[in-house]
Amino acid sequence: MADNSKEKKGPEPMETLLKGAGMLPEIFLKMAQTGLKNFVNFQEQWLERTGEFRKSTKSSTHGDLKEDAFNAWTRLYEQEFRKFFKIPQLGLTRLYQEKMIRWMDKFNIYQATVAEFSRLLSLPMEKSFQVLQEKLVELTDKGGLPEDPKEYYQMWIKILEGRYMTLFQSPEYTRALNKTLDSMSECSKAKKEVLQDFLNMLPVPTHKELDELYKEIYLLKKRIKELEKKK
Amino acid sequence: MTPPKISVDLMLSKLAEAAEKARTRAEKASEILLGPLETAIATTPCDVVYEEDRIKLKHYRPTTKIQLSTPLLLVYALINRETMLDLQPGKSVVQNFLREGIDLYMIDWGYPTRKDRYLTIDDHVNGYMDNAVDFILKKHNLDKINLMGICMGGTFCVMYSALHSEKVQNLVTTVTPTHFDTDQGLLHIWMRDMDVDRIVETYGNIPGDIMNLGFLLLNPARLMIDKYVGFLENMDNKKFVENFVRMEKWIFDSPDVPGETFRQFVRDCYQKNLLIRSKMEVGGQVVDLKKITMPLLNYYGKYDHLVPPEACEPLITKVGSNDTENVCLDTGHIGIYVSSKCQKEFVPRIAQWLKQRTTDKKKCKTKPPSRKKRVAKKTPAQSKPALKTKKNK
Repeated sequence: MADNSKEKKGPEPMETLLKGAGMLPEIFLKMAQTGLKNFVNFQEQWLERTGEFRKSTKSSTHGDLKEDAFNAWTRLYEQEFRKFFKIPQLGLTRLYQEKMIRWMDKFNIYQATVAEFSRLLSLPMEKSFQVLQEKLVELTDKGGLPEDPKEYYQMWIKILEGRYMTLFQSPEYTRALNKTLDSMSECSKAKKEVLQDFLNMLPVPTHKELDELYKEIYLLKKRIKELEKKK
Repeated sequence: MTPPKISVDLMLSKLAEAAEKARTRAEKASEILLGPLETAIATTPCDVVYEEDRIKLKHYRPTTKIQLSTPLLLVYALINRETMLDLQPGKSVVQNFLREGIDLYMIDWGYPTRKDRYLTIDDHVNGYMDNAVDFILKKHNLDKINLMGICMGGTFCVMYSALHSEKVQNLVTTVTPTHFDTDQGLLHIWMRDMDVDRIVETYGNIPGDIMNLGFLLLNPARLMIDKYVGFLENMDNKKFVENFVRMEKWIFDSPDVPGETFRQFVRDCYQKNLLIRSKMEVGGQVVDLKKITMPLLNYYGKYDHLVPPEACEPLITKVGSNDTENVCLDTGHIGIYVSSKCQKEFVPRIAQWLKQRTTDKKKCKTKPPSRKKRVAKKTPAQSKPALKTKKNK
């Protein structure tokens, strides 16, 4: 009798398995719900951050739109995206990962500063055409428009030269220039660190090793020259 | 209100004319550009008489009888190459000096490599320059030489003359910056806040390409646009094309600048302006401008956008010499050396000035005047409109 009942119910592990299988849809549903919730939260955070970007650009006039967009992007990058580059690295190759990420970070900043610098350099060009137009209108009213096309070119180039001179003497330009040079140096430095690591794997000397050698040679030569002069 | 008259038809006909001219020009230009062109620079024969590391001392072969036994050593800047002084026949400072009977030497700074990054101003001034001077003195059995510097080379010459005044008979400085605390000149504004340490640590030597780009940015309208428009307008003229290509060869031939030299030059000169205040240290010694007691002739350009007059003028008031003279030419930074107008005045004037102050009475035809008379006397160039002279009393 007991054997029959066992046969009818089936073995215990099988029963447990079947019970568990029955709960699978519920588990999957819960996982999907959690996943979707996290995804929605993430999206909300992104939308909040990009909302800041939109806010700063929306209120600008057309003329300042580009400048504000650059500043907003730089701010956004430094406050939001850069956090991801600063996540601590783990594992055996953590040092190399850190250097690579540092290079990517410096490269992004370099791109942003170069874009800003290029925008600054393009301003005199835009302004020169505006000023030329105004000047031509003035000349038209006076009835003294030049007949030779070359004279228009000469007028424009003189205006452009003047505009560049004004820009180059401004503190804004000096700041942008120094910022670009600094970010270029930082990016180059970070790139070299990564490349040094690759080169260390190959049987070739690196700049760092050669610099140490050059310094020693330089100091030795200097010492020899001093001694020769004393003789 | 009557509508303004715009002679559109006239403008269009002018444009059509210009287009036709451009077509003819382009045809001739292709013949010229595809044909043989004489664009060699620095062709005046010379011998390399001394070498040390990357530095070469060139001695130019005399083309006429030497009129001055005291040789003249030309020291160019570390930026760009000294080939500008011998760009082409007819526009060669070197050939003009040889024609005046000057025994001429020139330092070729060469092309620094990474191993030169640790070389300082001391290495250049008290090292290479001093060794070159000693070589010349020994060769000619002399105690002193005449020294002439161009731009940063002039700054080096000023330092050298203060530190080794016993070896310098006469000093000529041309477009030489010595006073850096001025807002005239974009370089002075830009260098003030530059983080030079970061740049030197990153690059070692300052790449010549970055220097080139920086100089182009000083006036992009003229140097990147107008210059090439001018070339397109004249490319059917073979002489013009040859001269243009020579200038292009020189202007974009930029060696790297040794890092430590660049660092000290920017920091001590551009940022702290120590030189003109006699507070700059080179090799542990203070460069005291009062020790410059030999005659000084100081040339600069009125329209020099790299080294403005304000950066050059004060030198004669800071040195210890009683025989000093400022000469301001109506030209720019390199116009002094390459413009046809200045070619006729510049070198002959320097040669005459040197001959008047030589101690070798046998070779010199002109009797050197007394010091008081020399200072008060008006030089012939003052009467000519191109030259403006300020003498130190």
